This record gives sequence, C-alpha cells and structure tokens, in this order.
Amino acid sequence: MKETAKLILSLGLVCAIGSLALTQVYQRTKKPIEEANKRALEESMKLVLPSETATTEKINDTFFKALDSDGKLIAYAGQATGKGGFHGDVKVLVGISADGKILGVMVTEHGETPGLGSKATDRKSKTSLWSVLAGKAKKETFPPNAYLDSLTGRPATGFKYGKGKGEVNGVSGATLSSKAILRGVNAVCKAFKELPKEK
Amino acid sequence: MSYFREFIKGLWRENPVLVLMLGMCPTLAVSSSAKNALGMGIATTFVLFGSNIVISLVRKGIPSKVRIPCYIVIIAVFVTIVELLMKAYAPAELNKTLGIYIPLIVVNCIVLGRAEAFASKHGVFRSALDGLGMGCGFTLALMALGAVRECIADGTIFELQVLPEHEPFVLLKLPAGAFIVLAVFLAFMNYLKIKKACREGKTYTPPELSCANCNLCGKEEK
Repeated sequence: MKETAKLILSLGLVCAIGSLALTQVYQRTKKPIEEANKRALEESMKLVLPSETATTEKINDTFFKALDSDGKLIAYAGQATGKGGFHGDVKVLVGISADGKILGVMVTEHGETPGLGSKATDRKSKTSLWSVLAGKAKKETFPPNAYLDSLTGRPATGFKYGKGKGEVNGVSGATLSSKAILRGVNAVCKAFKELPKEK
Repeated sequence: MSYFREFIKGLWRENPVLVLMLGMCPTLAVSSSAKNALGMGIATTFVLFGSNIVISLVRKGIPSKVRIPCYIVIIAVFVTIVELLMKAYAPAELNKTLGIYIPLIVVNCIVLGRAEAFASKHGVFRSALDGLGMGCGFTLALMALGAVRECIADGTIFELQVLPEHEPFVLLKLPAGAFIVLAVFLAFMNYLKIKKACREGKTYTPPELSCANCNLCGKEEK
C-alpha cells in the first residue's frame, strides 16, 4: 500500500510539473504562433496578388481583398480546400483580379507524394548550386508550375477537368492531385461569384 | 570514459541510426531531402539534450516501476515545447514539411533508448553530452541519407541543382528508396570496419546486442 502511494505520487508529480511547464510555454508562444501563421498567409498572398498590393483586408473566411497604396481595390485572394487528393486534402490560394480573372494559383498545404503528385502542387525553384557558389543566383520567389500556371489569366468562373477545349488538362501520374487542386480552385470561384461586389 | 568521448561516440562508433539501428521510422520518413533531415535532426537533438538532462536529474527520485511512464511524460513535454517553439519561430516552409513528424519524436526509440540506457544511470553532465552527441550523430546520418536521396532523385542538394536536370527518380524519394540507400550506407560502414580489423590483423566480429545499449529487460549493467 505504501509503495503504491509512492508510485502514484512520483508519477503524479512528474505529470504536474510537466503540465505546468507546458502551460507556461503555451501561453508564451500563443501570440508568436498566431503572428507566424498570419505572416505565412500574407507571404503567400503576396505571391498570387499583383505587385502593387499595399495592404490586404479580410472580407470573410474565404476572401481577402488587396488594396493598393491609394486604398483602391485591385484584386482578391481566396483560399479553399480541395478534397480528395492522393493523401488527404489540398489547400489552395487563388489570386483573382478585380475584373474576375485568375492571377495566380498556389498550393499552400498538401500531402501528395513527392516527385509524383507534387508535380501538380509544388512550385519548385531551379537554382543550381554552381550559380549560388558563383554568386550569380537570382532568388525565384514564384517559380513556375505548368499545371498551376495553365489556369492563370482565365476567367474565374469555375473549371472542368478533362482533355477537351476549354477544359483543364491535368498532370499525368498526378490525376488525383490535379483534380483535388481544381476542386479547391472551383470552390474559390464559387465563393467569388457569391461575393458582394464593391464599386 | 572521458567527457569528449562521451560526445564523440554518438557520431560514429555508436551512431544511433547506422550502428544502433534506432529511430528507423523518422529516418525513413524524413530523409527524403537534406533540408527536412536537418530540421528533424535539430529538433530531435534538442529533445534528446533536454530529456537526457532532466531524466538524469530525477533518476534517483523515480521508483523503477514507474520509470518508463515518467520518461515518456518528460519526453512528451519536451516534444510539445519544441513543436510550439517551431510553430512560433521556425520558417513556415520547414513547419509545413516537418509538422506531422514532430509529434512522432515522442516515440522515437532514440530518445527513450538513451533515457533508459544512459541518462538513467549517469550524471547530468555526461547525459547532456550523450544526448548532444547522439543528436548530432542522428542529424549527420539523416543529412547524409537525405543528401544522397535528394541528389539522385531530383539532382538537387538543399534544393539547389547539382546534377543536370532530369526526370525525377521517384523510387529514392519513397520509403523503399530510403531502405536501399540505408543498406548501401551500412554495407559501406561494415566494409570500413572489416578493412580496419584486417589491417590490425584481427578478424572482424560484428557487434552483438549488449546490455550497455539495451537493458530494457531491467537487469543492471554488469
């Protein structure tokens, strides 16, 4: 009986001290984490929005509007989740110009297979080690991706997956990933239609 | 054993990945690129360092019957701290790729293995050095694996192009490829050891499981 009490006491003490330490760290990192998340979103929004964007303002859960330095509305950025990728959902961020054209698409979160599904999702820079060593490397902030870029410039009215005219042709070997991205983009387009337009 | 050797043993002689064969799960999962490997290695090193110190501090106060749950609680606290800190201060890109692996450090056999086999029997300073050494060894092994896999699969190292661009060799990016590269590494290490033994005129005997490395049965080290 005495031994059991000792066991319970020591394990309980370890747990209590542990949770105390965790509450401290949690409270101290809560704000920086929120800021980091916000910063990450802003960084990615900068990439899909026009370079004149000065500030962004949240409209609703899906959309942000981008204002230039005069406070004029120039574009929207919308994020949505495309269900049914090869490994779970795919989160996309879409920049849409004020007149309803796609400015850029990027995938902010995905679990697709590296080298296969990621061909459709990743924007990968092609800087070579030699150019960095020679000091000639340019930093690519928005490297191209053939599939994501095929949507750029089209009206944001929703897309159909397929090989026909006006349809979106996916990446071979990454059909599920391509479709999931398109589902996400279509969700943004649908929300864009329902968005109250500003003059 | 001198303090310096306590640190250095984790790098080569008792390398957790290549010799003790501990922590295979994160090794296979995260070594797909050099950058991920480095991030995972640093996170694990921090956890190992912290948990080794705390466990060696409290080793006399904890009854041996509940020592494993206590160790797990201590390790879990450190892992959660690392996770929160990384979310707050690490680059977003690293967070995204490592996010799902960080909680797995809790059950990384290296951390629990060192707690049980080393920190529970040695003083604070030695345990700290052991944790650092093991962590560095883990990081180096992971980075070597990651660099080789990334280089062959994509022609890049740390996302910088080193080989001419080619169609990605997907096999090496998947866990199966990690097994193959790891096997080649181990074969090479054994080759070096056999060579060394031959030069010294001995026959090479592979290391056997010793109580110094394991002792999960609860027996004291002789």
